[in-house]
Amino acid sequence: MVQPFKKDLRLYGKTPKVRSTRRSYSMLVRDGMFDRLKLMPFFTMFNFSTKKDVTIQPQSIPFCGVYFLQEFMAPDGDANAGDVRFRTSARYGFSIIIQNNDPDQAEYTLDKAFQALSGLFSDPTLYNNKQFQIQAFSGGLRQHVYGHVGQDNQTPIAELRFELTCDLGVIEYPPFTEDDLEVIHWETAFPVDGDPSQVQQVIAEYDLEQNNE
Amino acid sequence: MAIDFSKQVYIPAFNTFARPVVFTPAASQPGQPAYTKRGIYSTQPLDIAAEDNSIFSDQITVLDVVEEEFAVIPLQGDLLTIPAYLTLPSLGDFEIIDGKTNGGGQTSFNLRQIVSTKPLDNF
Repeated sequence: MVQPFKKDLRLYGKTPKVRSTRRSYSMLVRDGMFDRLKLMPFFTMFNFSTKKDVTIQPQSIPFCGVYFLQEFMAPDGDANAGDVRFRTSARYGFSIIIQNNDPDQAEYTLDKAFQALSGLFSDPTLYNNKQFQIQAFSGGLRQHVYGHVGQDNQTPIAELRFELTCDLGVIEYPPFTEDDLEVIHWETAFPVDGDPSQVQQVIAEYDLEQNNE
Repeated sequence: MAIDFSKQVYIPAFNTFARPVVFTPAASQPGQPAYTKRGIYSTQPLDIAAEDNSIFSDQITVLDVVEEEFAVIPLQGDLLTIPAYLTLPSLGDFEIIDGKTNGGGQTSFNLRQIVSTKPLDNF
């Protein structure tokens, strides 16, 4: 299984390496989809964002947002036995906003946007690469939305909303076991019932790396 | 005593606040030429919820007219242009997307701006 973690932090020589999170698996997948969409010809003129908290301005249109929405973590086998591990799914939201005064043409443009977006499913490097793997695309929800609920907004926008659920398989969180055995020092005292000073003894010391992986 | 809102309230107010508007009656009088009347333009901020409550920042734009100044009240689908007037700049071209009367002689039109298509359909 691909580990989304980087184990390169060490406070000083004898301290075990600290397991540090680089980016979580779900975010790696989000960024993988985001990077691929940006390269698609359909989206050449688009402005992109992964941040839902940045207000989209009219000058941002055409706009493509790729958002991490939720991560679902269900037990894998007996939840109370073994290492912590979750069968993990993540949900991502795509928001493609265009403007067109012709409502019919706007809908067809959204349809083309979805066809372009669905190119993600034809790209095996998305679901099987060195950074992350997607076990399955397990669900999707597509909507066309035309502005404000009263549809009385000034700008003739149309939005393709697509929510995609990805099965990310089982992600394990193995326990970190600190190893305090730093040095082994041993000496012989032979013979047991004789005079050890008459025998050359062996003294050895082993300085151990801690939790070296 | 009843009040004629149109004559006693709106027309005096429009004499102060209205500006010329060129109407193209594409829906209300198809084939008829454009004509100039007047209206009061106003616009306010409007946040539109997009995917997962992200926000698209827009405006809600309204043009008020006095009904008795029109032989035929404009309808949804009519187009209008608000040209420059005195020191006021041109506001551009719009489409009427909704119209509501207040019952006292004034109709408010919700306007949609005529904008360039983005992205261009060349894919």
